[in-house]
Amino acid sequence: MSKQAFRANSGGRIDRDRPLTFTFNGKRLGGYTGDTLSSALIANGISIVGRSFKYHRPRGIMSAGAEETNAFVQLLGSNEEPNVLATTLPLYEGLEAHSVNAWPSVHFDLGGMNNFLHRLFPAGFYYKTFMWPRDRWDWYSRFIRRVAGWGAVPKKSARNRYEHRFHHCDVMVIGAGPAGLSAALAAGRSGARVLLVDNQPEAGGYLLGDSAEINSRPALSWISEVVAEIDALPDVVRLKETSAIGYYDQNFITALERRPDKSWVKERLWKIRARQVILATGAIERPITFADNDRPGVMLASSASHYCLRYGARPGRDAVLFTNNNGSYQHAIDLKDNGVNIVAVIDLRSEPDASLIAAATAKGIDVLLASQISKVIGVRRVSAVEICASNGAGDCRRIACDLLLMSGGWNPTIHLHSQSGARPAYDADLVTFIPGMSVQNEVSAGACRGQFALSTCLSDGLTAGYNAAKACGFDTEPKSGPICAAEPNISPMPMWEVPLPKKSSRAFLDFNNDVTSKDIRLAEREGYRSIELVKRYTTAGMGIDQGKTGNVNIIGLMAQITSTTPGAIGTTTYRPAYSPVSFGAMAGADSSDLIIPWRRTPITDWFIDNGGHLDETGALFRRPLFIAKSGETANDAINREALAVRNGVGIYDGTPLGKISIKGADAVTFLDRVYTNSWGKLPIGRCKFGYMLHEDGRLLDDGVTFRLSEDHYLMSTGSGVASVVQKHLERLLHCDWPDLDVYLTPVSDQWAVICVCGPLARDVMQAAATSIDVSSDAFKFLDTKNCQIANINARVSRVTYTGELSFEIVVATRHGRELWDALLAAGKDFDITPVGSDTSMLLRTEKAFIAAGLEGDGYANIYDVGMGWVVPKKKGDFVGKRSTTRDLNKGGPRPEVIGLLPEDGSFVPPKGTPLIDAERNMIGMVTIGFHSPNLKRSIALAQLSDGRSRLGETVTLFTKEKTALAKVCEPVFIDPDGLKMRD
Amino acid sequence: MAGYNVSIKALANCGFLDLRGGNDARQACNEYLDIVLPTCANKLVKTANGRIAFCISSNHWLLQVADGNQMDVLQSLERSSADISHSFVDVSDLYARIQLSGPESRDVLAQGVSIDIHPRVFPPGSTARTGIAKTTTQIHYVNESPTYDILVFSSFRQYMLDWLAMAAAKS
Repeated sequence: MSKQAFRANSGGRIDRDRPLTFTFNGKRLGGYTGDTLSSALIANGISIVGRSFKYHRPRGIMSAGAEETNAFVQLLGSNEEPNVLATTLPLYEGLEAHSVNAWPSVHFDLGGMNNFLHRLFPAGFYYKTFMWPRDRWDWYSRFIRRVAGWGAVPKKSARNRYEHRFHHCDVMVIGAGPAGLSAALAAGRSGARVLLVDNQPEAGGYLLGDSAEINSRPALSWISEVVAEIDALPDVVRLKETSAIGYYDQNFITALERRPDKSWVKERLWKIRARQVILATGAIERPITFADNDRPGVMLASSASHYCLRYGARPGRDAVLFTNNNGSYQHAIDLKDNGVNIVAVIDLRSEPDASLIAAATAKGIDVLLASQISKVIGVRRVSAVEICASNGAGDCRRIACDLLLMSGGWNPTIHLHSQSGARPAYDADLVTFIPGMSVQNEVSAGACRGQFALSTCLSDGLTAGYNAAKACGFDTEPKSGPICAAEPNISPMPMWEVPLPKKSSRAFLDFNNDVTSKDIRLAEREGYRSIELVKRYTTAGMGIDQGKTGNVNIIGLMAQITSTTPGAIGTTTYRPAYSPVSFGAMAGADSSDLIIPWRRTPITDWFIDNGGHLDETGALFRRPLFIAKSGETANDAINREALAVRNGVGIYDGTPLGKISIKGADAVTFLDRVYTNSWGKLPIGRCKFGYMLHEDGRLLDDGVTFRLSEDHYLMSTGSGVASVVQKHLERLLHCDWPDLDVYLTPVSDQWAVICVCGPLARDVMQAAATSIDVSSDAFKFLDTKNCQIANINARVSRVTYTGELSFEIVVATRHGRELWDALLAAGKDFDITPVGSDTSMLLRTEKAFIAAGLEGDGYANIYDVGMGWVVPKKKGDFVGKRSTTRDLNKGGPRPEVIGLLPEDGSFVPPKGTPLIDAERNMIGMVTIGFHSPNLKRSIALAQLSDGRSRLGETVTLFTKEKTALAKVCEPVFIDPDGLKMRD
Repeated sequence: MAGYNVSIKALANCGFLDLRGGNDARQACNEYLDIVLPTCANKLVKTANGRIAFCISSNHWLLQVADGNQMDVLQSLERSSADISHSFVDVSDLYARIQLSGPESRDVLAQGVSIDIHPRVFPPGSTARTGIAKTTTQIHYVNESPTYDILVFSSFRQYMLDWLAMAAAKS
């Protein structure tokens, strides 16, 4: 393990008593607890951390925070994860990572050839190159995908736990720097429920790596005291390592917490509703656009200082600062005080703040005014810079250095403000965008609204916290804020591109996507003026870092090229997420078996234990399609079950059927209006089939409704549409017929429903000790009676979905399994056969019992499906009547349901098979097809244009594999007079 | 291995009656039950003998009674509301009851409940009809232990138990 050659002997917030070892690109290195991966790499003198996306240029660490644009790594081991930011990843023992975008190694990368061929890859080369021949895109894309950069998706699925958490608060403060801490303290002291989130492992923001003083003491002392007070407040929640990533309507904010309080939770995605939001997200230092500004060793000035002061890691030994503002001088001085030799300050301006020049000079730092960097020497690491006068006068001079600090001004972190729907505004004095008018209950405080001085940040935060709490009803006069030394304004000079020394020189704006100033100029020449289009054409700002450091420079350069102002250009749209989010965090913990809230009936366990092949059959129920015996195929089982129902007895779990209690004096009027038929004469103890239509006359649902008492009915609905029907009926009652005295209660889960069906069904009922006479004379088709079966209170009805003699037994859900077992026992001597829903579907097909979701396709009306008999001629108005009548009056061919008998009786036409005429025009469609074991041949139901007039004709079925002929027939294949079910 | 410090258990069946009706029916229920049924959703009221009436909407209540009592109570309510527009339906098997208790109950619940369950807003005795994870529930914050009783439609009972177990687990 190599020595940490760039680590200071003392200082920083690392724990030198707790050393750590880690591996980067196969090399074992050392660090300390409290380091990030990037600070440890810097301490070890690692200058190249990756290769760039397009040109594969060597890249080093540029920043110290979430804005990092180069240092994305592939984290290995049990926590494997692609594209992890080294700058925000706390170092841990055994950490293993390697660089991305490099093969075979980051030091010798074959992709680096792209850099020499860069003239071939200007902005938009994709769109220009791969447009011809047009149909070759798929071919090109194979290669493009292969060379596409960044990390690799782990091959193993994540075993980590990712949690979701909902949270509500009065005041949410985002950012725990000086403004955020002040705001949280002010709001928390008032008694408001406060949530303070910060993306760092410890609170303090930039002050953690700064020499500033508060109340004449180191700022870190103030932070400790404030954090202690905040943590002691009972209704303040402070989350560390938590990035607010999305800001949505009604102050809904998502935040991603890494390494939360529970050791077994890797990440927690917070979904937060805040009454008031305070954004204290700080500001991001801007690079300067000059030739080769992406070389390893070129770093943001504040970040270099941060590494040095917070981690005791020196990013270089001899440094040059290139700046356009006052704010960076202190960083140079801090670095100098901490062992980095600042060789010179190169200031683009001719008149910076005099006190700063004096302070720098006093430290022995040479300050060159009105100067600029024209050239960076060194490919794998900066070794020198060439400096010229901004006006071109005089000779250029070369200064040896291994670290080039740049400071092009500051970008307030306005991402969340913009995501909230607000538009940022351009501030010409600050040469950057600041928050505009808030459109939600949100306010920005401190540096993120362009208030860069520490004293202003602190007072801004206090005011924002007080006001936010007050808006929530917590009005406590704030204590006075702390006192800090005065700071000069940062006074940046606009400089969007330092003139390039050669035609071949490149200055990078978006380091992440390898977008240069030339790309922007090219886009403008090719006609792209809107910044949104420039972004898409050049991919500027579309990388993992979402242009945190580059976007304002791009806008500024575009303004310069088009001779307008950055404000006139405007920003692109800021979208979530602010920082990368893992798929695991998005999915949450209930991502496997619990991803669908499967419903169960009391019989589900029996099916699981007895060969039931469960599948989703609507309304989130998993029902058995069939119940296979050992060695049976699906077809075997379905055929056996279907034969049993037609010739013996079957038993079916009908619990998922929808059930709605309808009660009230106007129940009959209500039923008359929602069904096509009339309900006035239905006696108590009888039931009736009804068809329900949408307003447009299309089929909604069919089912049987039972009259239980004078004003109480129970409606059965299809399993899959129970909630749809319930909403439909409630809407009608609430919106259209509020005068009706009717109340609905959905009771689907109240009752278990078991159907015993087949010629021997009556025998089973008797064997099961049914307390009523179930003979055909005493208990007729469509009767419904209360009774006891196997000593269980039940209601039994003579209704059928198979066309056989059937008894539908309804018991309280808690008795469902008990009844099922009792009926199986009672039916044992009759070889009672449990039946699945595929078999049930076959049986209804044999009887042409219409399924609204199959034969009714959203176009067919009730006459088309052969159910016109459910519409009495003298019936008054009902929902859908007008549209149905219109269809009749309009005339013309309709898609009518008919039966099909394929000439080849072994050919089962799949659902959806087109029916075609001699001219190959589509004239219909198969709605369902089966092999009928009862008929020993295939059958199908189909919609056929004018089908009823084509009975006896032959039509052609067109499938992918073959065409087949089928005879058009009446749709009811078995017992057309319905004698069996009425037995 | 233990995860969150909570206990999850399925409770025994209870009697439940779905009560719907206007002011007259409400008045009749009030007199029989000797309570004042709230007319604001997500409120509950308890009777002296331990029955609980959850208000679902201004004309809709869910009455929880001891199991076995539901038919007696239903018949009594029917008698008291004769000639008054109403709908009283036995829904005792429509709901399953699950109890979540223990110091970290709120941490578990907040993984799937989007409403504010902070005690300042949702103190003991509160109720709400709201979603937990992907299903509809009636949550009743029973006491400060804290203990939450969760009513869930009975076909979702196992899903809810599985989900709570997952949310509480260390895995």
